[in-house]
Amino acid sequence: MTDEQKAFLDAEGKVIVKACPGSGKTYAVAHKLLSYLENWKDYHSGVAVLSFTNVASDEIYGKIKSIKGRSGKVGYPHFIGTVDSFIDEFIVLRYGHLYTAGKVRPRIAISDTWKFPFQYWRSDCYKKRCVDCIEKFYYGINDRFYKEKEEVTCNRKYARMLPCQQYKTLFSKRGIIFQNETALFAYRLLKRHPEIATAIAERFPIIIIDEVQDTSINQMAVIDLLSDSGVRSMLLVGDPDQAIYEWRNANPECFIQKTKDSNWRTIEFTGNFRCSQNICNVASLFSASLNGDTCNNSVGCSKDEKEKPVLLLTNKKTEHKIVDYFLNKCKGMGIELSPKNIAVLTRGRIHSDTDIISLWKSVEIELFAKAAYEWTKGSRNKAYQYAEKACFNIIYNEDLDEYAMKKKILDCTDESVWKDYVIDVLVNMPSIETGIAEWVDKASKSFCKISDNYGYEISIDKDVKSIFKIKQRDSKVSNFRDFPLRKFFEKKTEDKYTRSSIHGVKGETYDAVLINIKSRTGNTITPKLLMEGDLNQELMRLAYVAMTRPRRLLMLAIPNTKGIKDCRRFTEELWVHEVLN
Amino acid sequence: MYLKKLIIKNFRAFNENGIELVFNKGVNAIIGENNSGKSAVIDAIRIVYSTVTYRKDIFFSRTDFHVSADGTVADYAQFDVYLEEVPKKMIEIWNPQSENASGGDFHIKFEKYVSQNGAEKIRSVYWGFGIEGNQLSSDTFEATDMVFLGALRDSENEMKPSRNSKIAQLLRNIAPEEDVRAELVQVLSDANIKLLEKDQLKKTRNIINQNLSRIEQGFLNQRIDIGLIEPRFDSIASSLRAWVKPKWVLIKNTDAVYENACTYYEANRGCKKIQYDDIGIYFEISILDGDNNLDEILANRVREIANSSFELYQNGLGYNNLLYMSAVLGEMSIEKGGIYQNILLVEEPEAHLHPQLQELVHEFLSEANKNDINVQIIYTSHSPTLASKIEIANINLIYEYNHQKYCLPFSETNLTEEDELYLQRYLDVTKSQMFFARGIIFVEGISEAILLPEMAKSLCRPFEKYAVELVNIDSVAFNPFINLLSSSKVRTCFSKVSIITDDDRCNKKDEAHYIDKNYDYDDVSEEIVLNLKNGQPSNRCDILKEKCKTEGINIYTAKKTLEHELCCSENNVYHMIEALKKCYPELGVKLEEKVSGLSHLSEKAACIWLFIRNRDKCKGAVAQYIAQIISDQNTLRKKGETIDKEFAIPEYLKNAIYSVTEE
Repeated sequence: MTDEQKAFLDAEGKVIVKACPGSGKTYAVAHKLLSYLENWKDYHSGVAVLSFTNVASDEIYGKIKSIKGRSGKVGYPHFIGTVDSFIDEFIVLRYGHLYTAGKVRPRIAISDTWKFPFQYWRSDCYKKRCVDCIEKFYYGINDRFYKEKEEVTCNRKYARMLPCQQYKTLFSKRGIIFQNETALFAYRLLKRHPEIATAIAERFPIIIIDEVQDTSINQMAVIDLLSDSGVRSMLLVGDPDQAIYEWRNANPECFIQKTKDSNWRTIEFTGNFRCSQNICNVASLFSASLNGDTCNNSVGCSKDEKEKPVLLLTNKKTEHKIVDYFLNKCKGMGIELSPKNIAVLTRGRIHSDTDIISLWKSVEIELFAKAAYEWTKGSRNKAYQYAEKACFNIIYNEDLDEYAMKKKILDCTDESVWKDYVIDVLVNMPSIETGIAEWVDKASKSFCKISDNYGYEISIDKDVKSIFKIKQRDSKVSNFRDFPLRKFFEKKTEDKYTRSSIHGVKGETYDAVLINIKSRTGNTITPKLLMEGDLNQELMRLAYVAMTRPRRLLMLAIPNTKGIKDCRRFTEELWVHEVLN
Repeated sequence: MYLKKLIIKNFRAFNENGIELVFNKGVNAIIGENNSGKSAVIDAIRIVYSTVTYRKDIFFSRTDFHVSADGTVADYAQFDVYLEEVPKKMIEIWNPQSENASGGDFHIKFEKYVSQNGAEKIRSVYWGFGIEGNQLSSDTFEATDMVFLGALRDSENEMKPSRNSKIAQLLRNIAPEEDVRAELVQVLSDANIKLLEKDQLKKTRNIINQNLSRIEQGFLNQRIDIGLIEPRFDSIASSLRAWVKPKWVLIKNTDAVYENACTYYEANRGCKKIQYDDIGIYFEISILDGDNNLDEILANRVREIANSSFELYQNGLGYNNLLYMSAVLGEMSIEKGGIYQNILLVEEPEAHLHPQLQELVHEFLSEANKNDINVQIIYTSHSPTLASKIEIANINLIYEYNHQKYCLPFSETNLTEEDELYLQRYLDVTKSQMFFARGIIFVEGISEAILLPEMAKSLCRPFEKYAVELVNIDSVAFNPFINLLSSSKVRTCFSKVSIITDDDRCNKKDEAHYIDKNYDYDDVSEEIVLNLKNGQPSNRCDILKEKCKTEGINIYTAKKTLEHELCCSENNVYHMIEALKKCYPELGVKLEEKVSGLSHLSEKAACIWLFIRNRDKCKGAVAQYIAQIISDQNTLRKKGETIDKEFAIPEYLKNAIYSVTEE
């Protein structure tokens, strides 16, 4: 353990840790948690360890298991989970009825399946496609109104509120909250009932938040309220350079502000246990906080790797040629070919051509498709959840949170029969290797048949044809309807080597990584972006995350672009320039 | 944390409207007649605390749903539990909106449903504070420790050595630390080793081992060891037993140390711990505790005899019960991490105990609670002894009215603090029997108390049959009782409550119909009769009447006094004079003469009243005499014989008796 990590282990109070890639952040968090658990005396108060994705919190579990072995169970009174689930479970659902309009238990919704009759939409609203995505709108703690990341600036004209705001009110009056609103709801609830914040602080006197750069402003407001309500220690750990979830309203600014706040003690983890010094030197040019001025110290066993990062300039080469070149290089370095050692990373989907805009024409078909994929490739539990939700929506035409849905099922049907039904639907899904168009067609027939067998009638407000529907045509990819369903969901394959999106390898380590930049244009990682793009943007951070995955070999395959050899970020001092003809 | 309120709906005898019980810290009693639902309440509490947890000692079953009079079975049953002093961190049950933000609640519901194959099934739904859907997990219930002592508890078995005996649990809690446990195990190991050094034991072991090897012929090569018990902490705990030591030990005159005993006895003649007897000398074993100059040989002998006696099963049932309760309370009062609530449920703690011991048990339970941490005790009882001891506000009375069960928490009556103190002092065993009665008559004096039961018999309404309790409060301080029995709730509970009192008219000097205090029987005049007729009931009586009216309690008043009313017929006048003649042989005759000279019944009544007014010591004797007359006449009436000079029961008393004995 480094001195920096030891300092964190001893730190109490309001602490923020800025941890560079490979600095053993999760390891330190796990150790910190264990140090609390070893002498934990209280039976009904505990430590909460929160992260922003399930993957990240699973990772913490994994770390604890690897340190403690099989005894690494962490249960009541402690909590390990996502920030969302923490806010939902302990604040919104538990105390929400004290704040909702009708004093009802709030329901957390993902999308608008109610489609309340509403006559005040304007033609503009249709044009901007706002009518169909009310779940994307939310208020900030500043009371301003946003759609996704942008503030809504439409003209109110003579109306009291904008149509979208009015439509939103219809939901809040019914106690329906969309997932992106729960943090604000929790914030307002705690403001009105400060005693609840105190209770949560008593219940969780220690709160550790990992990957804190992914917090939204609203979530940070809730965290701040809690840390001022008697939480003994609030430990925030993250790296603003690795904030890659802005599309979920995450905002690294929240993190940076804390490091400047004198009420917070800042600890920096600057030692990189993962990458070689050569890789660290290169990566620093793409980090907003380092800005190429300084770079992290390589302190791991690969620190002295002589191999410099490779900038592979390509000319319309097919992907497999690039990959072969990369694998050869790995072989030359004595890196064994295995998904544990070698990764090929892309921005977005790993199967190019499957990124079809508005492919799914209904919430339900997307759920069924995900369910089918999870059933064969992932977690059957998740598959069941997706399928149950889709079936429920179609039969009862309601979109409810899990509890409300369970209750409705109990009221309307026999629970065990319902379970049999959902499992039957799952089991009878067409194979995920089926072409997607054919898959949808078969799935539709199978669903109708099974529903019929069980005597479940499809809601009169639902139409099977428009539910089991995907896009007809796409200007870029003409044959997408023949692609197997699997390709649309695969984010990571582990065959001879790992193929994954960059998001999919957050927190992971490989010996060698190939980042394949395919496109010169578009809102993605392009040669131009890497050469001269602002460091303070999400795509750049994404590139930074990718570059900091390998221990020994970083290869960046990039279409040969004019001026790249002279670019400050790609000097031959730091990179080996190679050309693939 | 303690249980404050429990609402039970559709469970066993309790219907949809449910009953609400209120509890306080410390000792609480649930009283009520047989079959009123006391045990159902206790079971409800047990169900409430075991539904969510993994350990269950009671299950909700199909037959627990309420069945109404027409045979319909309820399709759900619900328990609403409200707690006080809930730590905030118990967020599943804590209620931020409660008073002082220290309350909490949780709810448990059982629903019937029909599964696809047609079978009827039961499922439980439960939720924490506030609103259905809020998670309630078994972790929250880890904060509660509940022990139940059933009415048919088998204390002997519970105290017998076993893994789960109360003594074993107590030891485990007293010695949670590994090193302390190891020390105990070491003691046992040493003892085992010492024991095994003895030839007899070696032989025993060897015989078994030899036979063992002969059977399996070296195939398994197993050997056994023998000893007291295997040297493990759990074995020690589960082999512990308790027994009552004898109080006295007899050193017989044939005993080897008898000489020493005699010498000691002679030297300490005044000592109460030694008693001489023909067959030997008795020593109280507490003599071993103090500094009594007992010589070593004698002390050892006394100890030896004491140790060789009494297993648990040789104790009386009652004493085993006490032993058991003290083990349980002992175990509960040890502070355990994460436990915020200790509930001890006892059905009929009075079982097998004589009244004085019952009082002691009550003292013990309430003392235990004062000294130790936070044990809430809830018991059911039929014992007026216990009911008269417990704080009034800690009693829940369960009763039936109009085919429905109700609960009256005395904490919710209109009692003032003063009333409470008064009643606490006033209620004795006899009076607290009213809590177990269906009808109550309050009277103000001994005369009514003697006469009414006989009158009721002669009206064929014997009080015992109608479970009516007659309470003589020996004064006119009815108010605390009215307050105790009046609140919207109580009205249904004690619908059959009547008060009998004198209207005490013509008592006030400033009123028109005042009758001078100095008049005696021979001063009787037309004016007095007229005043008695036209006088207004006393102020006290009016206020009482008014209060009873608003509180819905029956009140029956005597015109002037009981004795005046008793002279309501010529026959009665005759018997009254006979009665007085017995008390005052000479003066009685004079009264008789005076009365015989009067023509109107009202004059005669006035005359007798005046006589008794000035000699009220005779009231009891008169009542006794009249009661005998009524009783005798009743016997004759039953035999169908003619009755000479039949005694007439005054109307207002008749009404009072009817009012509490109506079907």
